[in-house]
Amino acid sequence: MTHIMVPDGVLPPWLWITGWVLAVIGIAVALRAIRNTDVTRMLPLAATMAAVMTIIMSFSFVLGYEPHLTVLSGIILGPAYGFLATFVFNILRMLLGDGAPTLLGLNTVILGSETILGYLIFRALTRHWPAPRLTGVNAGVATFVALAIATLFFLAIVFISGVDLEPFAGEKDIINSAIDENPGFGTFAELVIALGAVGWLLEAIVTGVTAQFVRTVRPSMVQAASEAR
Amino acid sequence: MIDLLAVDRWARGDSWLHRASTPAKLLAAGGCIAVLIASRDPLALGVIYAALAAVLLTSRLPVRAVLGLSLLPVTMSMLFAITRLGGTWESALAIVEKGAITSLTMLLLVASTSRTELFGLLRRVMPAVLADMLLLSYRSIFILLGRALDARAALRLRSPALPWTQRLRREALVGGVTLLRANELAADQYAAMRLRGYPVVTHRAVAWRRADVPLLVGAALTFTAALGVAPALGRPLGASLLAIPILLALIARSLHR
Repeated sequence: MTHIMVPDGVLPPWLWITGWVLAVIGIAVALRAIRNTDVTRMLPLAATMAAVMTIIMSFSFVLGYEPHLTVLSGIILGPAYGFLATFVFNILRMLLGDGAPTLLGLNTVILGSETILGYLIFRALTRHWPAPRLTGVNAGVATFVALAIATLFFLAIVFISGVDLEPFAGEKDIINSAIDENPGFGTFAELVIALGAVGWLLEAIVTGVTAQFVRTVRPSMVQAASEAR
Repeated sequence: MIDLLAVDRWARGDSWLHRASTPAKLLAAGGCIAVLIASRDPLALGVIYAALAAVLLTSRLPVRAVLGLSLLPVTMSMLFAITRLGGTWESALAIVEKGAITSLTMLLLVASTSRTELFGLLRRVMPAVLADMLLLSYRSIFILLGRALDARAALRLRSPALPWTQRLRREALVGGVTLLRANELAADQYAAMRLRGYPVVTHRAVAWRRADVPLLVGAALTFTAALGVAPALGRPLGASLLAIPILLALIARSLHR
């Protein structure tokens, strides 16, 4: 839900170019951070998580809400591999027709922030409540909070982008003629938050149950939990 | 749910589009994206979409399935167009057209290109770790989907009807088991690839071919028509340009049959 699903050429160039610059910086930092890690073990896991995100994205929980499981990626992979997996997921999404190439950078930054935030919140919660049976609850809470914050970040970007949308204005106002009022950003934000809240809850449940299962069956696979100890 | 398995199957086809080289297809796709950035004219965008539809009609890809898949992401563009812009019918149409063009362009690229060639080319422009991750992810999608569907079918056949809370736990179990198994398979595959001397430098991925000529000439004509001719002709006359590529494609299709 938090990725920007507008077509190429709608957002102003300065915004999507900034997104690309930030994404490239993020990727460079992540690549540097993984230099001394076990790439032969982590790379297939990151690839699997990117594939999971791509498949999950093709399901729709509620109208317009696409789950991503970015927080689960952060919990399992950690921030560096999680950010890289998010970038790869965005490329796969784009190749499957669901994404704009110019917005690849911005979407990587927004979804990457979900991954990193989710990882940080989960790690903090696991430090306070380290019992393995609470892994699912910790993961669920981390998912809900991270998605809520990332949605505000997403809305801020859409709001900033509005400054350059005037060239689209013309003679016939479809909104005014349709419902006699111009809904603008406020309505868009309300719709996104209303639909999003249901989606965050469902995604939190799925992430919680899956994280609990993985922690029980293969504890070493939950990166954030092992780092919190 | 998007039928991701089908996309991989379509890439093994044999048509003029499948025979064109990967760099030529990437160049044409890049041109489409450039027009999307440069133009907000619904007529110009309509010309591009008509040309893409013509490519789809003549590429022996399943028309209904590809079109259906390409229109899925357009719902969000429509929501954005209606709630965000408060502009004209034309501006809303341009937004929706842009979404549909990006989506169809990318699908035509992936559905007509072998993944080895596509990722071979990407490996030249991306850091090795990212390119390997991309290749493994793409392969993992099909492994994961196959395993998840098999596991779900097995559970449904052997399990009685359950309340939704237990069903949710069961689905999460399927997801968890599939994730673990797919990770093991991806790790084995990566280890095998490295043992066999991966990455192999392939020149086939970047070689230009004779089959590129119709694609590149067609793309150049389409971009000229969209950016130069259509705006100059004006609305009623320019709209007739939309029919030309579709008509040509239908004639080519009927002649081929």
